[in-house]
Amino acid sequence: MTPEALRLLERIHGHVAWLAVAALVHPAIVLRHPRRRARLATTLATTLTTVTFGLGAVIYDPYSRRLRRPIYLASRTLGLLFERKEHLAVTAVALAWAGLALHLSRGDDPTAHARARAAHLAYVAAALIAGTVAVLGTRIAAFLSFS
Amino acid sequence: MRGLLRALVVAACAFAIAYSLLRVAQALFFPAPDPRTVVVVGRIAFYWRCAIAGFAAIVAGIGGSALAARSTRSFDELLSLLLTTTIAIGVLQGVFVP
Repeated sequence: MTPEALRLLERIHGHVAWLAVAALVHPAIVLRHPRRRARLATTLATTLTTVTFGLGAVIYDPYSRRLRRPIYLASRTLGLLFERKEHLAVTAVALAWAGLALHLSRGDDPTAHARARAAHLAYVAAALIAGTVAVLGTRIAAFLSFS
Repeated sequence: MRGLLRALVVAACAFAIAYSLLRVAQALFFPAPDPRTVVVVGRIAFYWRCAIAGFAAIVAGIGGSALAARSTRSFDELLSLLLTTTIAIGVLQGVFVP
């Protein structure tokens, strides 16, 4: 992949990541009420989160080969921050999927309060973790990115 | 359809938990060399962890689906515990075992 293509993918990854954070906050707020339905919001938030993760996975190989060492050489702290971001992103995307499945499986069943509460918990945690990941990613990209 | 969705809940949580546990095991038993000393990158551990966690997620999803089919109430009661465990393990590993 050319450096220009990598830089473009990295920019898209970063912008979609912030959109995903914003999209995850919506169901985290709306699903406070167990009877509330938010199928579109949950589906869109989970899709955006997954797309962000997918783009990150695509550029992870070139990152490992081209950027990881220079980042560590310049600052071990920032290198470790990137590792933290990568691990937390896995948890965020998994929680978004769990939240989506919980919300959709609730269906029209009025007794499914446990699933509704769990869906809310999943989206709150996913939003908080994804926000942290986006902040860390922006910090590292501001320090060094594909050129 | 609901059985599939319940399986997906368990699979998603299992994916995150397995990924975190694999990272901890890797840090304990197979520590990677200092990235500052690595000039040529061979295998990329992130992809391997995701692949193995994906396999664990499929297996756990099948098990979760079977549990949900047997007792939906028990399954619902375990959901909060499952999610809390996933969040705790994911965050603790992410922060303390980078």
